[in-house]
Amino acid sequence: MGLTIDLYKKLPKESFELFIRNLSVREYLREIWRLYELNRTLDYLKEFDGIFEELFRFFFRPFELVIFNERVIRNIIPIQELFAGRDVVSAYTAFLESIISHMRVTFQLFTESMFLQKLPVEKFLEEWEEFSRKFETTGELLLQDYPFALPENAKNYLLDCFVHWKEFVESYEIYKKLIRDAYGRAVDRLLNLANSTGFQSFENFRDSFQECLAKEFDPLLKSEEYLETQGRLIKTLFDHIYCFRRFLELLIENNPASPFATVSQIDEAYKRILDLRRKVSELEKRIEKLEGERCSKK
Amino acid sequence: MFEKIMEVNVKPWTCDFEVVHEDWVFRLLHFKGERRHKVPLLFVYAFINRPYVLDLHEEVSVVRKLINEGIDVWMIDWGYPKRADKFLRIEDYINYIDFCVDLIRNECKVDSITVHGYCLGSTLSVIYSALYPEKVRNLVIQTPPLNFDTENALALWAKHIDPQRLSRAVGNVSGEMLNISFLLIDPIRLVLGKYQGLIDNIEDPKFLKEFFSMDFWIFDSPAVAGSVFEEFIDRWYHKNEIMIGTYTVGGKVVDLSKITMPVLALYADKDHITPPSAVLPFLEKIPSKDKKALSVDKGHIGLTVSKSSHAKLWNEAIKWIVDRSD
Repeated sequence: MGLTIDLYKKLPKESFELFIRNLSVREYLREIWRLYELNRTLDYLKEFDGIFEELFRFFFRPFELVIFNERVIRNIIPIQELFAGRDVVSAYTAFLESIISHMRVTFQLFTESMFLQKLPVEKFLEEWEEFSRKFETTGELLLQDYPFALPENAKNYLLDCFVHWKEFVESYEIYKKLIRDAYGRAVDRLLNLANSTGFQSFENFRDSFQECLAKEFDPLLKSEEYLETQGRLIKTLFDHIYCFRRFLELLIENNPASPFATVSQIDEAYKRILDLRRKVSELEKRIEKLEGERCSKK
Repeated sequence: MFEKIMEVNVKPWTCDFEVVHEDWVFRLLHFKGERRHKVPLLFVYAFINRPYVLDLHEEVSVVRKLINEGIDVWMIDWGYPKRADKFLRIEDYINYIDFCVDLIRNECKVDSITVHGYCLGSTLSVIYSALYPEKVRNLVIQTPPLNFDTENALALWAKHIDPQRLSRAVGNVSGEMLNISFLLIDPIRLVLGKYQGLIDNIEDPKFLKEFFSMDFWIFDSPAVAGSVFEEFIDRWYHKNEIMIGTYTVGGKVVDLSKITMPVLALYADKDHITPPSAVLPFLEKIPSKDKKALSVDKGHIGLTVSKSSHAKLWNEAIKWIVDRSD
């Protein structure tokens, strides 16, 4: 393994990521400093965008993963096919079925004439294939009736899941803009400093950059606008996750052939076990107390 | 550069201990040492992060300092709650403290012991002391969140979230989520300043050892059980019930007027998690006649692990404890 991979393995994931991102930040800062030293003035440089990405990717990533969740949902539930491609699917289904049927018969004719003697394994597989055909469906029915086939409540969780996802994405855009704007103001502060008092050394420049950032971010993180945005972001994020999970759970729970217990069902069992344990513990204490009283009477 | 970090060897705990009791997720630890004072001490750690910060490395081990002074040291480790522990309640934590205190009283043949809380463990310790004052000889609270009506970012954030929405979606609040939140509270210092400092000192093995001892600890974050998260965000942060006097555990009111035992509060002036305003109103409110506050010009964790804290604050704090342990 390479040294970077060894380090990735050794360190806590957060330490590793923050360390290597700060190495990139250091390179950007060095480049900005080099350009500043040429004529002791500073303009907005693309390196500042690079620093922003390195500093905040760590925080943005979890949210963006959930935004990406939309694609996962689309894979699980064929929404587009349901609402836009339903007629196309119906039209092609009959056509495809006739081709499949034609190909099957043709293939059967050829294989039977070429291989007259069949091995037991082949015979079994053929029978199995014939047998399993009893369970074939065209898929058309399910696609057309999907919204009606959803169990009670599952439909509402699915719809709520979409609504919360949309609200979440909107909140995230506002949230990211708040952070980006604060960063922009901090860079403006730094540029003003660079073009007025200037910096004595690279260390002085780097520390000043950090101070400029802190002056913008300290009040931002306590501002009413930030608190409201972050509150809304978290609310919609977790509502989206909850509704999506409940939707999937209800599909499983309402399928009598499903062999899986859902998280909610297991949670219920955990809750009952813990409640029972508390009762046992309470009883033990009472027995201990009674035994103590009996001993003291003797 | 990477080779230097690869050479760092970080091991938590420097003092030997025995696991005296295990209760599904909770554990009671007993440190080995010569007991020269009558009253034992029980550390009640927070249910966020891990307790070995009190014994991080030889130079800044609070546990070692106490053992060296002849104090018999015990510690509760709240463990790593799993999905199965989602329905734990604060009441379960208080009951386990009571179980441990009784066990220690029996083992050491004393009526009462010193209870030393750390961060949210201080909150638990205060609740316990108010419910069972007869079993607490001395109460030490270290960086304690008790008054939750404060203006620091963490308190403001907590007031703007609905904990029930989180726990119903994800069960427990995971360590990773907590790590991100704690970094985002002060991203410029904790994400930029701290790691730029690491790059500056990459050739210094001593710096690296101390840095990574801390970093391994910081990111070794257990999940917080869902119901516990709901309760402490709603009843402590949103409603400030402990200070107001409406907080109940198992139907019993947590009455701060019962805090009459000697109380030592340790707080940090630059603490962005539990600022001085989270503890000073509590000290004013309790009726204890023997109460003292010691502070240090550090942050939340610096109070525990900085050498300057150990050179001054911890010497005074341990003297205070020793003076009340016979």
